[in-house]
Amino acid sequence: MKQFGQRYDAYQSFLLGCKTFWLNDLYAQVKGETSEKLGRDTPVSVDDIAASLKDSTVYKYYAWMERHLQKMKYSGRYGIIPSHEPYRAELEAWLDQPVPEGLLSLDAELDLPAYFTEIDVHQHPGGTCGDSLAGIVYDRGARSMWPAASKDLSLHERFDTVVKGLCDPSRIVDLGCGFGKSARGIYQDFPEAAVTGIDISAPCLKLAARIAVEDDAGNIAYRQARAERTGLETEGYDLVTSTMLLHEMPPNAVRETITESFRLLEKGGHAIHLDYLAGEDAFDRFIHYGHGKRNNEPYMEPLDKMDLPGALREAGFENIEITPFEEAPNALSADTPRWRLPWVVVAARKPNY
Amino acid sequence: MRERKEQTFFEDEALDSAVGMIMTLAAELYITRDRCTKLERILADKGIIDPAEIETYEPAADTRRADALDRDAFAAALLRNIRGKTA
Repeated sequence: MKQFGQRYDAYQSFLLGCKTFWLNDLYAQVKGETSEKLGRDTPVSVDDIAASLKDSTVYKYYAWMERHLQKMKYSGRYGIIPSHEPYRAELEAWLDQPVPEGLLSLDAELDLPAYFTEIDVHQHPGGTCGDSLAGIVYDRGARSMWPAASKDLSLHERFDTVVKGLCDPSRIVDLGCGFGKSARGIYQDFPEAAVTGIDISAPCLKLAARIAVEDDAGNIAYRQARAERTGLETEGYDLVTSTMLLHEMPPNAVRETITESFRLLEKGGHAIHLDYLAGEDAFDRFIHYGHGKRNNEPYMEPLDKMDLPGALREAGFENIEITPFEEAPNALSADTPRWRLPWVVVAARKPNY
Repeated sequence: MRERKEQTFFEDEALDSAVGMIMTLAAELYITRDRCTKLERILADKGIIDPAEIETYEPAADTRRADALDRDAFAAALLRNIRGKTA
């Protein structure tokens, strides 16, 4: 990873410090203010909470910080995007190096979905599909997004441990693999399995392939395609997985992806998705829906509101289970109220008949 | 890169912009503190400076010009918040 110097490091470190204050202190204050206004034991709705915080100064700062700390990370004088610009030619040449045959399959004619290209997802300017360096920028951004969890790959190792508890796959599809952060964990944690990573972003897939070359990985192939229409073999896989994909899609695309997953799986195969569902608590939903709006992730709320088990059943899946996922040690502990994404594992199985 | 209307969170949009300027200033301040601390430690450890000399330092003309370019970039980063655009 390119080093941009002490000023860049100090700037990003400052933002991380601000974000730590935001997710601990500001979040706790907003939650406490809500409890004071509405009472701790009274059932309330998301709308009740929104009304109670309408004139809250601390909530306005909470919202501003959530939006702009992320924006500052990418943009501005020491943001991730301008910091890469002086190295554009060098990085493009690095990405465009030949890779072993079969590792990377790009589709220049792919019809990119408007639901993804029309927003700057995660406030990444231009999104993850547009610029040739978008994958590298996304990689850098993802490593510094959340102070508590994702500075390393432990989240993916923890997810793979969950997967190992459910199945022993040999042919795996990772939908929406991006720059390979999830797929890398899978091909390393399941070295005997053949892994196929699917994503719509050519810049991300090029980076994923470069990383696989540097890993000397022989069990991964990346393919540019939509999760709803992968073009892969029918009943050719025993595990279809995704990490942080479903909440980036509108409900109709989620349903299509579930149907496609069912088609890809052999009988008895598993679909296991790691994503976000806020659960029943109104305050958690209020915070989660607000995060989706402020961080340019507009389908977080629709995913939370759709009948995901129903969609899985309708596609033919059974043994459907949605369970909380602890993305970092003690993340689910109630002792320390702090902001977190409401991680869940959505697991289902294609009938074995 | 597409520009869109930025989200606002305060009654007066001017306050959203003002907080942006404060945060940019705070970031620059932190970077500067970090830089100064490291520099002073290195120079003092090598016996090159007496930290007290910093108070009496006078830059040369070309150094002043370089400082001016840096100042302009700093000002642009600070004031871009007023534009109210996402990019």
